[in-house]
Amino acid sequence: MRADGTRVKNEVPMYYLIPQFLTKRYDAMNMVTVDIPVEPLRLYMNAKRKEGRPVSHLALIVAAYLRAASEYPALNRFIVNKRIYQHNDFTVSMVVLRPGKDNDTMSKIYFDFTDTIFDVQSKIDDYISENRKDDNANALDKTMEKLVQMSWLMSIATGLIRLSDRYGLLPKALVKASPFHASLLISNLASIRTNHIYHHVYEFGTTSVGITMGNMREVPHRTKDGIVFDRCIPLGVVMDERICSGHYFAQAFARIKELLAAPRLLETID
Amino acid sequence: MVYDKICELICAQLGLETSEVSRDTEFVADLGCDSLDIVELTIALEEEFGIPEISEDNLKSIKTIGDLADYAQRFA
Repeated sequence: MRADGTRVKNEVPMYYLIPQFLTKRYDAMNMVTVDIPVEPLRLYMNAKRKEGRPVSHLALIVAAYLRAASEYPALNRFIVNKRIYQHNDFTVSMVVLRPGKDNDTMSKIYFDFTDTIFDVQSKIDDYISENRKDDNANALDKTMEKLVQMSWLMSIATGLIRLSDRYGLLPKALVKASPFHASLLISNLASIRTNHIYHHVYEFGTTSVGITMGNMREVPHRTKDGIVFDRCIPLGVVMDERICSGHYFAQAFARIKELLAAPRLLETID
Repeated sequence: MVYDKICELICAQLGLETSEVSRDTEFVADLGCDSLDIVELTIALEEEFGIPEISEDNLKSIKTIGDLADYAQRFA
């Protein structure tokens, strides 16, 4: 029993067997680069800007992933202690840069599967604004400060935390704030002019998928008139392949690309 | 001249008319730009004026179109 997840039952035997052999997340991580053409996003963002409802690239990508996760629910699974669970909610952890400060912070945002692109944008805005407050230290910052103050007890304390998490005994307040316990980790590296990377998916916690947005680049594709280049945002996606099959992931990513080719689809819920 | 070219680039990128922007127009507060928009604009600017890559620190100090024009002017 875990407060943050529900055991997956009635799945094909493979999903129960694989974690017995590949016991760690790093045993089963795959990476793919998904190139998202920028032009449809730019046209949509410009239209929304004119309407006075600006949306960001980040919000569009999160909203598309959220929609895909509602249609492909296995994306929201995780494996802890060789058992497979479905997250009880959908959360996204991300780093927030604090302007003029060296100490970035990290927490997570709670989304609902009924959220539209505008809800997603609003939640991201609130999250950034809350975490950028000068006097604001989030629950993770506070916990880390306490752990570091405990000095020689630190490794015992962190060991206890890891053990508690393994058996689902971590305090709810900690899980609620922990960026390690999320459906998705996303990092916008393009904002600091960095390429997309293979971002490790943490062994601690419950995050099964990590995405980095990298510097835009030109990607060739074949048309009847020859090779053309599309300006794209590359997404470096690292995933724990024990939660679902490669084919399932591929279908979900295709759906994300489809949604981002027509972002208006993210304005309403069918 | 530099300012006019920058306005042209910004308006093309963001789908605006040049009459909608001025030197005091702020990228984030007035135009709703996100960090990727700003990075894209600076890359276009670097290509247009052949200026070296704008560092993160310099980028942080560029809030308005006027700030960007002043920065580019140094290399024009």
